[in-house]
Amino acid sequence: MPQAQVRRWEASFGVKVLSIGGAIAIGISSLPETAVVQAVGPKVFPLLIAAAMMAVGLAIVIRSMVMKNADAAEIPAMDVPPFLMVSGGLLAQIVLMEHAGFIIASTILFLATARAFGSRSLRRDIIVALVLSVAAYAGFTAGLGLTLPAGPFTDVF
Amino acid sequence: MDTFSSLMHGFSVALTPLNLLWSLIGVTLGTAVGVLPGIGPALTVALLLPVTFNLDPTGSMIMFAGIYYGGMYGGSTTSILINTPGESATIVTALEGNKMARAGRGAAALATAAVGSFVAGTVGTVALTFLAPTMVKVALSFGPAEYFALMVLAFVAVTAVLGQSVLKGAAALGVGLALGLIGIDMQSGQARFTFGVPELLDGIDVVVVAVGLFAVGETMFMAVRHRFETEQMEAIKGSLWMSREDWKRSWKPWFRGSAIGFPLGALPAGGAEIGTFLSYLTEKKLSKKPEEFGNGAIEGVAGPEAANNASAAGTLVPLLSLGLPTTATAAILIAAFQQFGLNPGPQLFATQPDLVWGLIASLYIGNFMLLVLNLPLVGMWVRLLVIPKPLLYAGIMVFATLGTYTLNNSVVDLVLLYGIGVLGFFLRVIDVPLAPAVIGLILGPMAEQQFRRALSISQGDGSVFFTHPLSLCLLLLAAALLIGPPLWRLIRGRPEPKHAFHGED
Repeated sequence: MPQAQVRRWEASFGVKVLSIGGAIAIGISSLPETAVVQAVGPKVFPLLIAAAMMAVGLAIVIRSMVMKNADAAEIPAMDVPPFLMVSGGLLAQIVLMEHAGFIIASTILFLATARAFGSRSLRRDIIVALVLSVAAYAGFTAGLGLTLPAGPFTDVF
Repeated sequence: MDTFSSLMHGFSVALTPLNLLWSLIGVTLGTAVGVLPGIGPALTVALLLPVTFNLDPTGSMIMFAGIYYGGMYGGSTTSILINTPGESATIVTALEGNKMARAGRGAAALATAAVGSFVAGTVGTVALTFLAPTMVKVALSFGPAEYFALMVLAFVAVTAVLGQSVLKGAAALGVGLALGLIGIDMQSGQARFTFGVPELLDGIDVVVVAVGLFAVGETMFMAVRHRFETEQMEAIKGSLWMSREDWKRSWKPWFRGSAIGFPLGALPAGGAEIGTFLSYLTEKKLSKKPEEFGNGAIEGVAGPEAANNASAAGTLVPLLSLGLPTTATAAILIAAFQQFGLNPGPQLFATQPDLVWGLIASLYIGNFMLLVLNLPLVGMWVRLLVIPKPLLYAGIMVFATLGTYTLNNSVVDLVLLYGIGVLGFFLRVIDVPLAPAVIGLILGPMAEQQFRRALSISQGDGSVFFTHPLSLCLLLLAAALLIGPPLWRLIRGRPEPKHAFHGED
């Protein structure tokens, strides 16, 4: 991993921390004043956090500039497609959970994640995914008395 | 009631057949989930939270005690047989334990870890039993200023102690504190950072954050890395019973590890890392065969494993007596209390003695169950380790989203889970410790409450934190922890001999 890239990651992390701090400060300052008289209102503590985060973010940026090779954390080697696949699985589940139900949504999430880890046996994955999500559905609804979206299988359980 | 009769009363609660059953289910589930590679105790507790939603508070807490100890126990099995510890505190166990497994002494390593966990868990629970009531008496004299100072100390400790970089720890803590701001401000009733989303008014659940960071972020990280990692599972070789020599070499490290681990866990200083590491160094120093360290020394498993478990018991002292979580796992245990409207702290001992003492008694019982169950069942747990990675992580994702959804039956939590998971992924890539974020989320709102209470009592006079002697001491301690280590390095790093500021080295 080239040194410059590590520095860039670290610097961009510092900038993000700094900007979260700034966003908190701006966001909290725009809150309307409360009518209730208090020694310390709802703004003081968030402002302290904002100040601390800005200081920490700035320090990280400065450190990334003066950092010696030995101090740099390694950025590990990574593939992008698996990240997209896990993301896709999660987003599909968010969309499908209350429309298609837990079993279908979870089966899709399962298949997407298994793909992300390089699984090549689709048939095995589908069987495991269905068994797992049906068992989890039955266990959590019938066994533990929780509610999960049934989707098209409303009458089955 | 004195401590002993309280404890006996606790046993009378915990030993009812139903509560024994909850304890048994707890240790079994805790071990099974804790064994799974990539799942540490914090995630184990978070993922199993929904299982207890419909129990009564006492039964649920007893089950949690079992899950907590079981999860700790399962993690050590994983780090010995595969070199991927589920949490940083078992890194040291993996150091020697995995070497032992490779050298065909895996069974002895598992056995010394199991018995060591039992010894340390018991020592730690006894210490907890007698220390907690004392701490409660101390805690009753705490005002808001003292509580706030204590929380500042905890903030500093988790950032300065966890991970290699104080700045990164502080950034993670800041992220947790920032997420903790979201929701209705209890004192003024004003909504902060809710962006008009009604589901955010109650704030972000700590379970969502813990599962997002430790399950979703971790899964994403493992997914992008899976082509580059090869890991090897070591088969258990050798007799499950330790040889006479193993016993001889193990028993002292067990007790030394317990003695090191418990106080470090009980201090509001966060985490078992230091304890396990100190224990490792101690054993290396005291060993007659230091050359074995690094090649599978049994002392290097026995000591740190004991320290880890004693520290887990120690963590419960500030948790139960002060309501102060000092580890990510403790932060989720607080959430488990809060789902029943209970707040751990000195009052809980007075208002819910059945629950508190039943919980403490069940720690003894769970610990014993773990020893009895796990020595013979270790072969079964090990089978969980051979689950192919695609199925393992796919399963983790399904249960992560399931657990999150059942919190409020709301898709908003799934959206948050995804966002926090992506955040956790990037933090993991640049090696930012995640535990401070979880602790910050739960401690931040508590700290704010105490901060404002203290200032409203003093009518806005900020000197209140420095004029109360106890509060001042805690803040000075926090400052020392923060600037001490870098100052120390600066002084030590200087070669000039005229600086007569040498430590005892």
